[in-house]
Amino acid sequence: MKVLRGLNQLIEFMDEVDCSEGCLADTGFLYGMSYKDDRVYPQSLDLSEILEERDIPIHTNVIVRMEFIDLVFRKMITRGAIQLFKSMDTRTEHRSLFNYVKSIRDREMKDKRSRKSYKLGERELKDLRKEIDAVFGTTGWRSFCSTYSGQMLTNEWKHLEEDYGLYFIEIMEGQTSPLVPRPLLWSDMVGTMGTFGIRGPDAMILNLFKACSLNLLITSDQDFNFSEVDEPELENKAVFILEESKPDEIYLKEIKDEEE
Amino acid sequence: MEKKKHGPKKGAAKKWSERLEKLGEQSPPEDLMRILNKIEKPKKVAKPLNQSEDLDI
Repeated sequence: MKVLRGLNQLIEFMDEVDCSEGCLADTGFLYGMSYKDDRVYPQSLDLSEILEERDIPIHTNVIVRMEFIDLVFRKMITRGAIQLFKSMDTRTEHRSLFNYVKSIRDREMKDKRSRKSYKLGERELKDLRKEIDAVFGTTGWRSFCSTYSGQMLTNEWKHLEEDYGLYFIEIMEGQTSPLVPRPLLWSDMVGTMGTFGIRGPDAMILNLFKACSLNLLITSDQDFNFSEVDEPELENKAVFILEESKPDEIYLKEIKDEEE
Repeated sequence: MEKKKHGPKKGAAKKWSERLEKLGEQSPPEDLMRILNKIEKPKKVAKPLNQSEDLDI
């Protein structure tokens, strides 16, 4: 399996190997093209344009689909908490909630300056919910979530799948399809985890890549550097690892303008 | 027959990220903000109409 870095290497590969059937993408790429504070955002956009010009569909599995929408949800709630902070009167008597959303704003700002896309973790989501429940009761959390995710996110998601051309490979254990001519087996996935020392979702993508007829895998995971892997299923295939961008002057200026 | 699959439409990625940006810039729900920003004003204590002017005897 070839490991491609930089768009020139990718274009060369696409000129040599047929990618018209599509490529396989992981969560990092999908999230990377969604938020401009993410380190792979600039290259994800450039890559999207290449896929657009060559009309290359993007495939992924249901695990990535779930991981991606979960990240988008967490990011939207993070943004919502920041809006809540910005709209609060500093004299509010609800000090605990005020301090909590302020800490989220501070953390997001700090990470943004070093081009890290901050989003609430599982524990923080629960804590935010507790703070909101304490002030408004249980209806408060629902009202808050319906503004920043809810039906609007459902609609946006539909747009994304249609406009972006995202396709989800859903296949049962041991079955095949025109796109996945080799049966997908749980035992192969577990073997992949052990052999490469990678987590379940990553092993599922790599296992699917081995079993499917797609020749290109796109990832933001720098650990997918498996150039030494010499398996017959991966012959003529390549993984493109997205390059991280450091915060440059233009980016920092944009952030500063937003803060003012 | 399976529908023909297509790649991203023109500018789809940028449009998606811009839409998410806008979604995250919305103001919080009004009903929540009314409760949050309700500032309790200090209670006014009524002055007695006839202030007693006790004299030291």
